[in-house]
Amino acid sequence: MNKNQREAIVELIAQPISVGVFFSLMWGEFSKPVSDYEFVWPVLWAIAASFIASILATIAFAVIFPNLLENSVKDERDRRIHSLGKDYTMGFYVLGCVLALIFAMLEMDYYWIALAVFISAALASFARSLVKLLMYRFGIFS
Amino acid sequence: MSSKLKNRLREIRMASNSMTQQELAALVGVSRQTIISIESGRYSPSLELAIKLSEALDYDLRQLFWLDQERKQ
Repeated sequence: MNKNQREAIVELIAQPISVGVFFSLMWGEFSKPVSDYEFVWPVLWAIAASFIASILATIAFAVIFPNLLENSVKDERDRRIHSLGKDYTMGFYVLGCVLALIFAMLEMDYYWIALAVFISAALASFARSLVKLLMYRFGIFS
Repeated sequence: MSSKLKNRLREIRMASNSMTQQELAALVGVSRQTIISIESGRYSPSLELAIKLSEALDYDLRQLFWLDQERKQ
């Protein structure tokens, strides 16, 4: 395993935690009308949770598997996998932006716009990590 | 018509004083995993890396890598 694979695994762990934190903090809001949802702090906490989970997962990797990292050389295969991982999952970002635009045009509540952007970013990040790990395991998709 | 890059990297590496994957990787500046992926056909190297591999093994590039063409029916 190299550094890039480890980073992809860490991201794969961090994103569901981030989304989980968001919805657990939002749980109490769902009984209110959508226009009264307090979603700003849950979004900020979810982003913070993603960072904290990434740091903790990286530390846990280093402690539990000290010899797991075979090397830290970033070669052409790593760069190609990283680049393709971004390309293949760009659609999630685009989908989130389009949804947010449509929601804004329809003058929907801010919550739906924020949710579209937040969830699409989390999904894109999760999918990117997954695609990268699959390419490391099974070869580059073409 | 589709084509796939084939190679005989493992065979030539083993014939070359039983060079290890790690040694070859260090010679051409990539990770051992990349050499494993190329040998198993899961990764097609760039032209630059293919030339470096050919030079590191002192073997003709076109004998080391070739296109396996399949005609789609």
